[in-house]
Amino acid sequence: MALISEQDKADLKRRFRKELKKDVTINFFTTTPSPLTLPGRDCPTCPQTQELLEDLTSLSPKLHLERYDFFSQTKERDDYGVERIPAIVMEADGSSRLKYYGIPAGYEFATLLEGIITLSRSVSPLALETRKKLRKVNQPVHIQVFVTPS
Amino acid sequence: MALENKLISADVVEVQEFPNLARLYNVSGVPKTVINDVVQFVGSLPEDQFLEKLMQVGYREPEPAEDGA
Repeated sequence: MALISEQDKADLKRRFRKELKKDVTINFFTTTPSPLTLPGRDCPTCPQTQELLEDLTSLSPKLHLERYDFFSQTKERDDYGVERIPAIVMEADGSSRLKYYGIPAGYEFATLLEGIITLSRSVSPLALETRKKLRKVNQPVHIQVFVTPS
Repeated sequence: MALENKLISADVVEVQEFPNLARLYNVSGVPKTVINDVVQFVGSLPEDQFLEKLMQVGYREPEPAEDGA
């Protein structure tokens, strides 16, 4: 079953054509399916997440999918600071990054889209005053937002 | 916010897939935001209030001597 309907694909294609500016790479961290179930290495939502991302990135030439194995490609894992899978690290200009852990289903699919489009346009939706203050941040800040897909 | 300053990183975590993490951070409602493991709140905040919470951990007055961190 397709995860994105044909109608949604057509809408997304149009939206991407209009709104995307810079290329965005979607770095997907997953595990390679193994005939053995290794304790602690299973990732029930990884295959579906990959399918979703393949579908999504096929809708625009500006979107690129890179797939990494969380357990063997440890250099990339550490470079991107990925702690668990499935993980999606959206990246533009090789620096601006947003991370999503889990399958972006339901409402969270919209969160992923917003992330991609914001990165691609590199225009922050924040108020100017907020942006000024954020430039003063001089300590590492790690924001985690916990969500449910429904 | 993560786009404005390289010191800021942002993760979205789907709690149902990572119940251990949800337990660790005591996630009883969503959206729940945790900043540097010290600032926590449930629900969405207006931008200025979110910023205020972020600045609590994100900004230190520069100290005159030794501690350059």
